[in-house]
Amino acid sequence: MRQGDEVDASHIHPLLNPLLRTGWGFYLSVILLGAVVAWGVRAWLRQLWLGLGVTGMNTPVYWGVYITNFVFFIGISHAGTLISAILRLTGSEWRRPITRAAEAITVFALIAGAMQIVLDLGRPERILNVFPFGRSQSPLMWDVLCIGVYLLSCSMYLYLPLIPDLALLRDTLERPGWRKSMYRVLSLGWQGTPEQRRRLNKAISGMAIIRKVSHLEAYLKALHFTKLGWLLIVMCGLWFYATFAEYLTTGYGAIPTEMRVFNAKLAGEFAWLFWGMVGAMALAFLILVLPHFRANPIKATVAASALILVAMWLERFTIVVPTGTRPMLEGYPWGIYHPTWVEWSLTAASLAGMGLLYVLFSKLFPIISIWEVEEAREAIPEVTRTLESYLPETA
Amino acid sequence: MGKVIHFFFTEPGPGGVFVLAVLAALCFAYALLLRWIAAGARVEAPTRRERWMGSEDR
Repeated sequence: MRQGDEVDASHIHPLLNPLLRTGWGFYLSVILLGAVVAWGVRAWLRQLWLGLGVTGMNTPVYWGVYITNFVFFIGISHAGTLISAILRLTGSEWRRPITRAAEAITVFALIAGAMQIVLDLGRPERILNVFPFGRSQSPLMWDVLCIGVYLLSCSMYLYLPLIPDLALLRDTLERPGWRKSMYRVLSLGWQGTPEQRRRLNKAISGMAIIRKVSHLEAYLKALHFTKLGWLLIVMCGLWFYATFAEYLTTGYGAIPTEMRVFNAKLAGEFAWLFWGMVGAMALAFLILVLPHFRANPIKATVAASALILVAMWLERFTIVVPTGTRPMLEGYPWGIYHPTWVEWSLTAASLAGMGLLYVLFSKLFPIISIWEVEEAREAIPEVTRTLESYLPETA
Repeated sequence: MGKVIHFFFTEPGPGGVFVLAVLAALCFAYALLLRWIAAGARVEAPTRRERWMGSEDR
């Protein structure tokens, strides 16, 4: 960092460190995640060569792990939208250090989700037929439209707040090279003039854990995990209510065709998955609310989040697969479904691919928005004035 | 008008064209947005103090 720049070097340095210095942890992560992705590519090539018969999908279970993963990844991407867009719009100041990580997760989860549709196709090149032969009655066509618009918009939402930091990196790197050239092109000639800043803020508003490894403890404090934990408690409560209401309504209605699926999930072959999901959610909720665990908000929130991720995948599976095994048409044979190693390999590769994209992104770009953190420092007097205005003795 | 709506919803082809048109329009709009932000640098020359994100507030 050059002397005399308005951004305080003592604050910027730790955030640029993970980008400018590469440790063995980065290489190890890339090698491990890359190996899993390579194994997934091998499994996919086998599926392309031999056809979808290498998966556990059959008649009448036409949707399996791939569609489960698709719904799961789309759900993950919504988490980023919640944090980056909603918290930004509501002016939650504590969101600043975590917005970029959330926005990156949104984009990478969407890419991984869209890939699941390609994996689910026996002839993936035929996905292009949606353009010359797309029918408006087909939900697949609207899927392509929705995911396309969502991906484009999220990519833009990730890119716009990156521009000032890209310019900072462009001016920080002294030696010319591919990274400096990349930052120069991507920063769009950003000079940080008041007019540019006004336009960027207008554009962002209009559209509106790599912690230890990157040594970002000073920025990602326990406060952030506590606040995210409170959000999770609310979401857990809503989930329990929605799940209870859904199953109560189905059970009370007792429509025979629906009860087949209902019984399979609550007491049949899918019961261990269903109750595993409920158990994981209950455990996550307890971790978040019990004072014993909340004493360490970072560990509690991370552990609860991991449990919720597992529960959400199980929920997607129990939504997609049981209905396929119990067709509503009378006389249609029931089916069974057991995912094969090819499907598990591609699932692992998708998760690893998403992780690999995130690791590479955090190596090339600051995972914490430098200018937003700096802006927060400037906003302290204004926030103090706003808080004081809430007090009764203030006119 | 009825025939156009019927054609759009029943024939293979117009739906795909619609998807492409929406995505292309979005790409065009975002390209304009980025160009507009980049053009902000030419509106007024930055002072040293104003560099790196609006230090004029300090």
